[in-house]
Amino acid sequence: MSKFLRQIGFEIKNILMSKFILIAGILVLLISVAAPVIGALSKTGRQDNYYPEPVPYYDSAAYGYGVKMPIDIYPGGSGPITVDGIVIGEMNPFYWNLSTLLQSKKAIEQGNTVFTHPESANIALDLLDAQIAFFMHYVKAGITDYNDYRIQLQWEGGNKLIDKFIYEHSGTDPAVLFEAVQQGGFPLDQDGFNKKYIDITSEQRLFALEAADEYLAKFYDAVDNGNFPAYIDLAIEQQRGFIKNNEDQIAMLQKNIIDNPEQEQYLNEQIESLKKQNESIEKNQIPMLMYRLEKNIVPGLRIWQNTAIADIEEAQNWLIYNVIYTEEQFNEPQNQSLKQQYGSYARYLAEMNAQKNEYVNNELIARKCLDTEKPDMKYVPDGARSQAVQFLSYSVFVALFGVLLGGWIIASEFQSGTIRLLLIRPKTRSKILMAKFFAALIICLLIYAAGCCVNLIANGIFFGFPDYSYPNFTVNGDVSFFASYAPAFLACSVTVIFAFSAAFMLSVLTKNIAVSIIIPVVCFIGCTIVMTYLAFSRLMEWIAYTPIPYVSLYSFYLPHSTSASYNYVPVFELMKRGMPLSAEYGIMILLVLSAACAVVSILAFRKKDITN
Amino acid sequence: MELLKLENLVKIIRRKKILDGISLTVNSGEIVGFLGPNGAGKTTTIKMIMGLFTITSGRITVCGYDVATDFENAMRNVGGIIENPDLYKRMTGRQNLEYYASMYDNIRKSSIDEVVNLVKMSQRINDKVKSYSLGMRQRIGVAQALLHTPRLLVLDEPTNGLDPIGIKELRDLLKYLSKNAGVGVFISSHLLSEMELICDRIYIIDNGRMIGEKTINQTEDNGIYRYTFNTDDDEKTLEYFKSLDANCGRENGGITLVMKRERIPEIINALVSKGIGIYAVNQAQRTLEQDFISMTTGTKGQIR
Repeated sequence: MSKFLRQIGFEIKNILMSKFILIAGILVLLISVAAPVIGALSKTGRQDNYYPEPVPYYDSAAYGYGVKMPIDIYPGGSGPITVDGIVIGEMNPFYWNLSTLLQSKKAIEQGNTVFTHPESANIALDLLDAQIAFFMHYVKAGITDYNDYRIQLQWEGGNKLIDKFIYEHSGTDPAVLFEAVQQGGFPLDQDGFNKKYIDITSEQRLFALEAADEYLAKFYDAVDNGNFPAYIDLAIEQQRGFIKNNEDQIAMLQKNIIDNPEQEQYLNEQIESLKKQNESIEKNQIPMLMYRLEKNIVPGLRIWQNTAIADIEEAQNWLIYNVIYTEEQFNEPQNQSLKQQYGSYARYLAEMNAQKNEYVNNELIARKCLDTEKPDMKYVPDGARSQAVQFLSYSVFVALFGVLLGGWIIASEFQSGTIRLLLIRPKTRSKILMAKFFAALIICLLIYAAGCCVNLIANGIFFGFPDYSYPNFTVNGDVSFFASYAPAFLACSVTVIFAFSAAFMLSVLTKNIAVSIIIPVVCFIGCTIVMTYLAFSRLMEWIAYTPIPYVSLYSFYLPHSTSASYNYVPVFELMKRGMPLSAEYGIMILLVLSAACAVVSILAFRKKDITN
Repeated sequence: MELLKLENLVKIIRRKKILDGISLTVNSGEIVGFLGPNGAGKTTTIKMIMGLFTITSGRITVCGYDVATDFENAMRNVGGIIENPDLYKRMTGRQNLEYYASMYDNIRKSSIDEVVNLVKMSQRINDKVKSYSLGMRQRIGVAQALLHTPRLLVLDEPTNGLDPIGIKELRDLLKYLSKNAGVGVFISSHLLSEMELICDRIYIIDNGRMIGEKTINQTEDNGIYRYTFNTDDDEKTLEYFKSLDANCGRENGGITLVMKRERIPEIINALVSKGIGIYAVNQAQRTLEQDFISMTTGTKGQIR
């Protein structure tokens, strides 16, 4: 045995003296340093894509509470405006609000707006001034980021401002008042106006005025001083308002059923939908606001906690709103497209359950992270852990180097004729062949291991070592990062082993360097193409039993989720669709095939006549 | 003792019989030659001895070890040069030798130095092989065959690429090894003149079959040799020799007569008295070339 090891040592030395192989190996090794450097340089660019809700949003009353609608940001404008001596540029979130208000004011002052009641003009101007002052709170607070969490308060705040204005002008003629407030974007019609502001007792008026004042006080506290608890109070109040509105609507719909019984089913569906919304607000939205208060997690900031919360919210939404049909419903004609997509009810059910499990898990993990204040790897894509795991794809480069080395090592001996002086020694052909096999394999695996080590250190340097101390959260418990990294590291080495063995076998069989390198590379590209494009067809189930999905074994160890599009990994998508892919099977089949390649090599080599 | 023994060696490649029952032996202290026209099967035979070709049937024994069943022990005792030795160009001559040395047991560093001195490569031994001339590579080829002090040397065209000095050095080395160290040498070559100078025995092969075995340097110390007379009247000379009832004939551009050395002056006198002018009297041996050509064309030898 020690003789064999000594032989391997000499073979290693023999291989390393080839400049061609040496340079290729060093280049591959350098990738482990290049990757973190490139990653660090492109970090800021990526962050813009990563964080959720890059577009500002508001809870839309029109589409159902809990549905985020984007604020349209119109390009262009007629130049910066000045209010109270402050210049407001076009990129300010409130540029459009303020410039519209200023224009309305100008139109009235210049007499371009015609009023039926001339007194309305002054009242309108007062309202516009009040509204301008309202938005100026934002400007003076220095809020320029569309994602600032306080921006969404403007909708209800603006309503309350109008309320306050109208209640304070209760002595004015309602008709005059009504016309005046039209200038400020008033939402109700004459009837609604009367009902809310005119046909009420003075006690009700006082009560409502107090409520408006109270709201505005909190509003200004939140906006001017950044008082987060005040914001949370208002947000919760807003949600309760939604609940009340929904309940009113439910009542109205139920009355409609009595009047229009033929529409019962349709109306009932609407009632169900509203009930779900309320359930969601009660169970999810309001508690989340309170949790944010407790942990002081300000929304809109680019921090991992907000991503975790986004995961929780997405899971909660799916779990409440997503309907899993029964078999009967699945087979109904209106669900034909589902049948086309999934093929059978069993598969549909399996996939729905798989999705459900994933969401439940995501929520669990997100909560664990928030509670322990340690982010899981998936929330820190620019953290050392994430980069280290992504770097497992390095195994593909080392595998290509393995193909190069494997294809070269035997075929070059044939092509240069040195094989003849080699085989006349007192060593059986099997021993000579296996010494070369293991020598080359050891070199490949060393390059792989060294590369990963260098990468781990470089990641720490560029992305911070503390990230390594956070655990990986799983549903069953937390594992230290290295405990979860080690198996992935070992598994990906199998890719290298397999690629090398296949090329080595071809090298022995064909005695041609070029062919032995090109065939494995072409096969690898073919497998990648199949997995990226063709595997999604229903007819390709059988490839789960071939090595095709497993040549890029690293993809089984990438962090993946359905909620964030940047973490889309094809193999997991396929697994969700029922393809029986498993990393363990892949490892086993690749190792078995590698051993088979070695055996075939020995058998072919032993009986060869050396003719060149 | 018998260092190499081939018994009924048969080799079939793609249904063609390349070798058809070759048998030969090489003993220690012997230099045995292997001759044949192109395509006769010489290189095939040598490759089978060294394990580069498989044996279809028959047996090859090296120092008592069967090459097929006891390969490692057999190879320990034999060193070989097969055609042009291809060495690893990226390594130096020394590194190549160290690499091959690693496959034997216990070759000391000093052994490598000795062998390098022997082939007179000490000056360039540490240069990369890609800078070597053909002659230098051939010398390293000889060196790697001698590294492990084998008892048998098997050489296929070993003088390829060597200049005349190199050829002589190799010849002297082989003679020294065989006479003083008891090494057995088995050489195949086209250079008939060289073979004549080196070999004790020669096997001749054609079309995969052994067609002749010849002993060179027969010490005919019975004192009887064959002489060639170059005269100005060959007819009369032949007539006279025939009348002596002696072994004579017309060869080598003259008339040959087999007789004792002592009788030369007597014959010369007889011829002169008959009025025949004598140009030269030479001790004649059938050259190897004559034997070779007659044997191989005798078997309808076609160049393959």
